Amino acid sequence: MMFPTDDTPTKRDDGFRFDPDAVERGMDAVGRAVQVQESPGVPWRAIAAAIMLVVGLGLFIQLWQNPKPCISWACQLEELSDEELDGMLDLLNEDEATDLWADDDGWTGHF
Amino acid sequence: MRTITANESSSSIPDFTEWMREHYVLVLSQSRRMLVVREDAEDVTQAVFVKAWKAWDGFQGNEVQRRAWLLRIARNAVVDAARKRKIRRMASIDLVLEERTESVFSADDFQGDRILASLHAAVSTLPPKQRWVFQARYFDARSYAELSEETGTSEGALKASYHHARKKVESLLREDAELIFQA
Repeated sequence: MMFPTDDTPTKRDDGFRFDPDAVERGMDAVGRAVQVQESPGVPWRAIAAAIMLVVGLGLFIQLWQNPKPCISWACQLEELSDEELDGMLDLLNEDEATDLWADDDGWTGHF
Repeated sequence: MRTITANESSSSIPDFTEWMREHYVLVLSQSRRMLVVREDAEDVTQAVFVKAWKAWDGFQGNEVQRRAWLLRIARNAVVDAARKRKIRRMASIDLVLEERTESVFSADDFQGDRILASLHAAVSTLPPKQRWVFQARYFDARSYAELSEETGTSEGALKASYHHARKKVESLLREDAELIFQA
C-alpha cells in the first residue's frame, strides 16, 4: 500500500458511503436539537426566584409579627416582674440556707 | 445564556441549514474514520453541528474561515469522543485487528475492499490525535500548514505524528496481510 509523501499528498477514497436518507435523518436530528434549545421551555430560574421571594416574604412577615422569643437567661431575668424576681431570690437564699448544692462539686467529680 | 428571538431564529436557521447540508458529509466522514462504531460517528457529527449552531451568530469570518472553524470543532469533538470511547484492550492486537476489520468490512456504509477495511482497523488502534492527523493527511490530503493552523501544533510536530502513525499502520498491515494470505 502506498502512503503519500510530505510533498505530494493525494486524496484517497476511504470506502465509506453515506446513505442520503441517513444524512437527512442526521440533519433533522440537529434541527430538532436546535429547536428544543430555541423554545423557551420551563423558566426554571424564574420559578426558583419566585419561590425564594415567597419564602423570604413569609419569613420577614413572621419575624415582623412575632418578635424574637425570649430564650436566653438574661432576657428571662429582664422579663421578670419585681415580685417574681423577689420570689426567685428568696428561693435562692433558701437553697443556700438548706445547703441544697453542697455536694455539687462531688457530683461533677464523678465525670 | 444566549437568548434567541423568533426573528433571529428565522433569519439565521435557513442559512445554517443550507451550510450544514453542504458540510454534513465532510464532518460525518471524518467522524466515521475516527470512530469504529457508526452510531458514535453519527452522534458526534450531530453534536458538532449543534455546537456550530450555538456559536453561529457570533462567528465573524468568510466562508473559508467558517469551514476551518467547523473542522476545528469537528476535530476537537471526534478526538474527545475517541478518548472517551477508548476500550481497554484485553485481547491480542491481531484479534482486535481481525474483529475491527470484519466490523468495518461488514458495515452497511462501507463499500471498500478488505485491505481498506484492515487499514481502518489499524488506524483505529492509534492514539486519537495521531489517528486524526493520519486520516486527515492520508485520506483528505490536507497540508501540514492547514493542519497546523487548525490545531495550533507546529508543522514539525504534525509531520512527526504522521510519521509515527504511518510506521505503526504499516507494521500492523503487514501482519494483517500475512494472515489474510495464509487464509
